[in-house]
Amino acid sequence: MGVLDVLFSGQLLFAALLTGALYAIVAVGLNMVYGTMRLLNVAHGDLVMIGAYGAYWFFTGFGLSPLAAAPVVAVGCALLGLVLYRLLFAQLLRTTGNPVQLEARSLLLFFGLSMVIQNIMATLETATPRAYQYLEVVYRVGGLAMTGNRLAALLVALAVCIAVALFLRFSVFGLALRGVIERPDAARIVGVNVERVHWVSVVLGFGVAGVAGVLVSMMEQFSPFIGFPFTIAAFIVIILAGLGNIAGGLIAGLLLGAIEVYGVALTSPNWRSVLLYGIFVFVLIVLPKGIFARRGRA
Amino acid sequence: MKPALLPGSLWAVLAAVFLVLPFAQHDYLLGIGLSFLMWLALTQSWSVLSSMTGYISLGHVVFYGLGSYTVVVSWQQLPLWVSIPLGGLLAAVFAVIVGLPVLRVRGPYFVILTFGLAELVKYVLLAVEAAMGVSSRLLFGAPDLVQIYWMMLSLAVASTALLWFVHHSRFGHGLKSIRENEDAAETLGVPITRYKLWAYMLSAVIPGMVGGVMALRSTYFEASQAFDPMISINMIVMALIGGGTTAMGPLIGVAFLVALSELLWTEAPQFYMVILGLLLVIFVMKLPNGLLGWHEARRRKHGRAAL
Amino acid sequence: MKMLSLQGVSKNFWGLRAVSDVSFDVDQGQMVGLMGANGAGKTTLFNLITGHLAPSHGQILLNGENIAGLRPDAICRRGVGRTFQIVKPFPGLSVRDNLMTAALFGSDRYRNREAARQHCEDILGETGMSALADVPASDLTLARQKKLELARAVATDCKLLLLDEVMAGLTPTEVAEVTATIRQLHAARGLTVLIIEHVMRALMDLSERIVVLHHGEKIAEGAPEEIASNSRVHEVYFGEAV
Repeated sequence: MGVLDVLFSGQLLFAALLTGALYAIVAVGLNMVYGTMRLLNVAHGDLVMIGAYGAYWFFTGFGLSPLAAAPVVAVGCALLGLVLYRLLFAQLLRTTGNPVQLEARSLLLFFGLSMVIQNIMATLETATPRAYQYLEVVYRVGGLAMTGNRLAALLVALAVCIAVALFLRFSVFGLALRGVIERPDAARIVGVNVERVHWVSVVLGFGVAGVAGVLVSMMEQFSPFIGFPFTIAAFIVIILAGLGNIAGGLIAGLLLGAIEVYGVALTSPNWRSVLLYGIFVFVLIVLPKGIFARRGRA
Repeated sequence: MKPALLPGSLWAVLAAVFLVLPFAQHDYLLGIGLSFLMWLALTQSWSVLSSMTGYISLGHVVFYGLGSYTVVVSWQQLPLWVSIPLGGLLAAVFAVIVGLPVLRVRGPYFVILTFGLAELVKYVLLAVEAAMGVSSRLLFGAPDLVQIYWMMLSLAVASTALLWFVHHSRFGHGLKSIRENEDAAETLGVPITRYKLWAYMLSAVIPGMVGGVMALRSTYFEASQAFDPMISINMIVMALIGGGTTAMGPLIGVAFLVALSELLWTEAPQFYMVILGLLLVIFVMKLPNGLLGWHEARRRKHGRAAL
Repeated sequence: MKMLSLQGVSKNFWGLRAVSDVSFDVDQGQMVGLMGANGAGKTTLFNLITGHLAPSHGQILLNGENIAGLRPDAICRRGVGRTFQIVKPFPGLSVRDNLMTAALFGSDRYRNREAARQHCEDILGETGMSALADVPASDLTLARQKKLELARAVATDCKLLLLDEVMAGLTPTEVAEVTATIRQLHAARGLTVLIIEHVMRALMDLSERIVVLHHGEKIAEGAPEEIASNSRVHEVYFGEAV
């Protein structure tokens, strides 16, 4: 395809929107966990993987449509988050004094968790990629051909994003959450129950990631090891958009999706990971302090 | 008196064991010995940067992979005594070029940045190899196991010497100061940028050469394997398990994990990884200073109780 | 030649003038106090002198050489030592090792470890910390950490010492102790000292001259008695003329 064909292709635009929306909702979950607790959850992408397998099990086991299974999967992932919070995260938060050390320790901790999760799944399901067919009906609009599952995925992803953004913007809890992200010590003083914000964030964050996984499973094949690229993408999004900024995350996610889809179309699929990790490295180097540095004293 | 004497004699015993091993004519044991020496060389080199400065590299495999690639690509064109050190040199140069921007990033961002960087190099190489129509490379006529073993032994000796030197030098004291408080160190006259770069470079050379030697061992190069993130993770876990603040840490961690993997790897690699992950979780939560650190802390407590 | 000469030094942060056209000199061996309300620009000024920030305008002359824009380690090696408002010890290192860093890197005189170790023993003695030599810095009380910070700066063999609110958080007894230590070090080593302090009594006691900053500008300079009766200073501090 010539460059102009690529740029004006409705097909690619749709793909970019879809990829971007997925990245955006995965990032939302990470935003909440990292934002409120400064835990570097590098296992976040693995929750997407768990969500994918969850939908797969419900579909192949009970014939349940992924869209119907999504809430169940979300609850399952949320419960997993709660258990992990009780067992590990709460204690890590309690026993680590300085924030840099907290981030470093959490990084290693989540890495370990990631290895455990990935390999338990590989033992259960083998490393062979799986897939299933759902809503393969093709809809044609203008020159655009999209399968039902992709259309559904896009709609659900956008809906979740908007719902979360609205929730954070207009609910009391959302206000508390934003407060904890920005100034946890101040939030505590004005009476916010910081611990509750923490575990609710974990629950929400993990649940949303699970939903993302369900959507992914509808469209692509998945294996126990698809997690990492999603984690990387999520980190890029929140670095670009700024911590706690869900709306910005949507835009950054779409941007990243666009770069990836158009970049691959202009070069070749071999370069997809190069693009992703290249952007990741570039963003981290250009913003060395991260935009996460807590504002110092006036 | 006693504690100082023990490590010294321990190293002597170890040296003797490893020097004698090839003569036992037992390939399986030699293979384990090779494995042990390889991880020792890698983990000790990693320590020169990460334990000393606190800048934890999660992408150290990139140096290993670059060294591997160098040897494989120049096979038949360059003699080994040139290509292996060349691999180390290439790794060092890469460290210097990349180090300047990368070392400006602090804390956990440095960690994930190094990971991302290693993956980036891996995928670039994969794409380049694919563009050239190559999916893997084979080496014919590589040296035998005993020769490879001697090469690795010298690398392990070199890394031990390097780590010892760094620990006892003014340079090493500067690195430790950087770890403890970078701003204060700079205010006291430590040239932090220069020192961090040196540490990064020094930590890259030996892994580069180790990668080259291991390419000879497997006689096979494939980018995903040569740049496998598990190699980076193993280095960190070994250092974490050993812990402590001296050159002994890597030794203990390496011994522990090599033993573990010998028991599990061939039978159940995925189970091994689960255990590895669990170890990481347990050590981070309960034993952040590793086995050595835990031992040191216990000794200090008993010492105080005795007073 | 003046030990330290600030000439028209300014620092802007995206439109905020943290330091605005500040000029003053410090003679060798003098003890000069720097005074001002919070946000007046005192610590920013220190950061400009020690190289943690680069000035937007002006020159900072150390013994005639313009050091503006040099990195902190280069400035330290030219003989400038400082303490921080919030102490920055090396927590995992012992008190002695904290000092060793200063000895090994602060000047070119103690590059070999034996000489450095001896120098550290001397400093430990001078500041009364010999008994604490092997204690990890993280185990010290705040007062002792502040003392360590001071000892560490001195261990660099600096000629110019910048003290940023060393007394903050100390009890009156501790304040007296630190004041005595500073005086002692000043006399024994011929140091030039620039002190930021909010504990007025200590500031007035120690300083031969005081420079007053307000909103980044120098509004007064003179002997402690003059400053104490200066109407502008009173206005700024108490909101009324004398």
